[in-house]
Amino acid sequence: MIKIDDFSFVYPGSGKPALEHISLQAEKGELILIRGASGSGKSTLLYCINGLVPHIFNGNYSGRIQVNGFSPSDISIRELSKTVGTVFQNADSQIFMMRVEDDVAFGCENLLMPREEIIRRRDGSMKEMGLWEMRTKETYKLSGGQKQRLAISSIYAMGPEIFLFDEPTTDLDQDGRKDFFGILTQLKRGGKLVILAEHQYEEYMPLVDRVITLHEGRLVSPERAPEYPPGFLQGYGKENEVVISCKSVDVAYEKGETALKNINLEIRKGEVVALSGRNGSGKTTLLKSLAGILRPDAGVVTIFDMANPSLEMISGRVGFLFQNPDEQLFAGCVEEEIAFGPKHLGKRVDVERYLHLSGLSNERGRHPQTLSRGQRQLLAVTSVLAMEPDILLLDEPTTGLDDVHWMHLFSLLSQYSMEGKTVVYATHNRKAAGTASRVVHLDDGRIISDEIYQ
Amino acid sequence: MMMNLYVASLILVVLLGAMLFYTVRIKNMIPKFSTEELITVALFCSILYIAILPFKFGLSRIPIIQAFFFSVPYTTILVIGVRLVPKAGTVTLLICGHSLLSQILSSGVNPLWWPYALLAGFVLEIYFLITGNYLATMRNAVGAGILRGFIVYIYFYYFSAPYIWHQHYAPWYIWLQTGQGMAGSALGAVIGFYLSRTIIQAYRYGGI
Amino acid sequence: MMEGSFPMRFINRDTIFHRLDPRTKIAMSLMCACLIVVLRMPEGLLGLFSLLLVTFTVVRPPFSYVRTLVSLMAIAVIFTVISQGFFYYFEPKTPILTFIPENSGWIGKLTGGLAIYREGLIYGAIQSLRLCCAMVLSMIIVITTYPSDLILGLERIGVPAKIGFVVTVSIRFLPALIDEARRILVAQKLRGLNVKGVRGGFVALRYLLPPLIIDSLRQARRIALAASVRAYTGERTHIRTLEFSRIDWIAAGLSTGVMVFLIFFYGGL
Repeated sequence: MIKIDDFSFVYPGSGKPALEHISLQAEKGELILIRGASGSGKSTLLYCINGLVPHIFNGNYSGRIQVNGFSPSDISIRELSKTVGTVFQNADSQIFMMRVEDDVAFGCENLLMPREEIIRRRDGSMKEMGLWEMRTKETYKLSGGQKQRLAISSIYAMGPEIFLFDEPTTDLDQDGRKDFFGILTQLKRGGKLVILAEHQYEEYMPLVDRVITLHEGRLVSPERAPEYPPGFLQGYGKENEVVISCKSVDVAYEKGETALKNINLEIRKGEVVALSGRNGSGKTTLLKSLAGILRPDAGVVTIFDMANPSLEMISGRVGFLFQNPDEQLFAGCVEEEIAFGPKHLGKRVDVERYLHLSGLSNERGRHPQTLSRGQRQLLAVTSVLAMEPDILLLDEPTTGLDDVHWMHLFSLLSQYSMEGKTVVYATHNRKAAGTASRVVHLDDGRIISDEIYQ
Repeated sequence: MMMNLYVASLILVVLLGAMLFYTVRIKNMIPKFSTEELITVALFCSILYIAILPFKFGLSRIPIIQAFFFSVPYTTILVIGVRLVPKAGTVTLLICGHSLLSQILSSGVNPLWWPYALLAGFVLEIYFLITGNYLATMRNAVGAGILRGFIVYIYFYYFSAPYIWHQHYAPWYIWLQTGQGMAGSALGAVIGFYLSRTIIQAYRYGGI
Repeated sequence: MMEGSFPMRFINRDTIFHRLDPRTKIAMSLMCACLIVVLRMPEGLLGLFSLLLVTFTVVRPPFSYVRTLVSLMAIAVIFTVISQGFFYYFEPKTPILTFIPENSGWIGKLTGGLAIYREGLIYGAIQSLRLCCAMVLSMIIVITTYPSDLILGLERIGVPAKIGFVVTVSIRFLPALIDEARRILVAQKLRGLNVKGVRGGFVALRYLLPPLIIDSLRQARRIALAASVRAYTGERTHIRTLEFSRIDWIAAGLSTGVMVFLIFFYGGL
């Protein structure tokens, strides 16, 4: 079905080839996993199959690609989309309509199918993907996993034989990934060819027929990824005073935030705490309450001996890192970004040190938005650290990071906690949660367990 | 008699549109928007809607100085949008798209509002055609801002207000509001120009 | 003003107006707009207003909407009464309260005098009915018509499909953008930025816009890629259909009848 012969590709304006001498064959019913670090060429390879290369990304290429007998350069992306369906990482950017059923039909509409056929395919796809009950729901109200399922369903309705997945579950929690496993099973059973590019792929291994590893655009033999021992981030605070405490805290449901019920929690100075749980378990709500962003409806959150403080009262002493680094980068260059917080708080701080800590000293003059995703994440963390807050709270800090940046992030956090500061982070990622010495597990708005690992 | 003036203004809008279309055809510049550009414009329409929201309440309820406060964020984003997609048709798409969005969500779709938006768009398009650049220089941006403020407020106070709503205002009041509109739009254009520099840099060389 | 994060005011009920084709509603809206502009006599305006209020009750709006509408109308009425009180255009006018006499030096000449006129206040009250009619009308349309249907209706009467697509995408991403803007503001407050007051508004503009816009540009690129693999080229068929039914013809006929009637008797032409 897919035959790639000694294919190489260079993006326009780039010196380095994105893909070099790739040869690959894939048949119906196979599930092929593509592994590799960020920038290794996984996405580019997928784009060469669905026609985005060369129709949208037109660079120089050599070698041959055949998809179902056609070369992607010979037919339009629209024609190709009848055979090749692609699902990207960010589910939000793949949803065009306000209602679920309208979005599932959108692809078929673009293929100029007659109305009866669109209805048939749309309904069939929704039923198979488990979206039938929510077909009139507004897309805005869907959860992350449901959005991704919608994206897949919309592509499925178009009837392709080949499915390409470009890191589809990086942002999803356990439930989302379990759902995806089910979808992969369905697709395999239906005889589709599936090519999956993913960072965290362990759960899908039972379905994988072949593994391909890319490194800097070439096919290589696989290497072991670095492992982190559980409890790597040792907190040093078991005997210290309490810095944040929650007593009988209730937080009511507020558009999108899970409600918290009767939370009792004490966090001591110098601890490293992971709040773990599924999406919707309440960990982000709890994290925001600990930061003073959300006020409790009952009970008291005490931060530094201040009861239910406002943001102004704790700004500078509590650092909060949101999930999306791009929403926290405001300055014109890296150096200015790190200095932003201290400047506005009137604190004198050794900006050079933090610059060095972030690993971005050589990029100090660059505009933050021109950095890679991993670098932006590190910059965002460092900018918050530069305010030298006493407590650092992070919401899903590992989303979208590859192994190299993951390592750097955790070493940053480890150094920070060794100075006696407190770290709390919310994560749905088991591996990340296990790295902390204390794990608080939440489900349905309540604390289920609170354990310390030695 | 009074109605005729208003009808005349509508005909003017149609004429402007025709003139514009003809010129663009002659110069072979019928804009072809790529999907990415269309979507960029769409998101900017949403951002326009958001930028005005906080100004709808609070301080700027006072009608006397409302003109100024509305114009600043609107023109800022308009300028950034056109600088990002410097083509014939962008500003019309932005203004009309935002107007439709606003109508669908808040004020009800009514063809009565359409000439107003189209006029602002057409006038700016002609301005760009005449000056030969799409906000490439600060001077061009300030000019566009002043022009927009002028057209929008003069049209409202001399055409919309008297003939649609049958409300009249003293000339000094009209010029006070228009002056504010022009000043606010000019300021917005300057801010937009200044902010767009870093944005464009990130966009061109950025990792996405 | 906003239900949660989404500023849409559509309410899903089954009233006659919900079942009308959006094109019919646009046509009726246009006829109503004509009336708002053309009617001269106060009785006509009052009649139109009452008609609209009746229609509004048929749509069964929730109380919060009614409250919003009433406060908007109140503001409109007050402003119109005062402004027309000052700026009354016609003769005769009898001043009640004079602030700047007509012939008092340069400011008098410049402004032509500043006074509140009795006829102006009355005139303002009558004319404010036009604004109120427009407000009730817009609420009715917005409550009873789902945005996608409205956009499809617009495309059917000639609005280019590209604009329809642009508006669809705008509406789809509006709530997400609002949420993002809020999050950016919170992040800024935590980094020590003060965004209170008018000055705060400008500060927020300067720091809020670049990240929001750059993120939107990134999003636009991703969306465009997703659109490409979804076979989008601009032309498409539609799964939704709009059909005129009997109630549409009845509604159109009734509206035309009412319009002609009102113009004829109360147009004052």
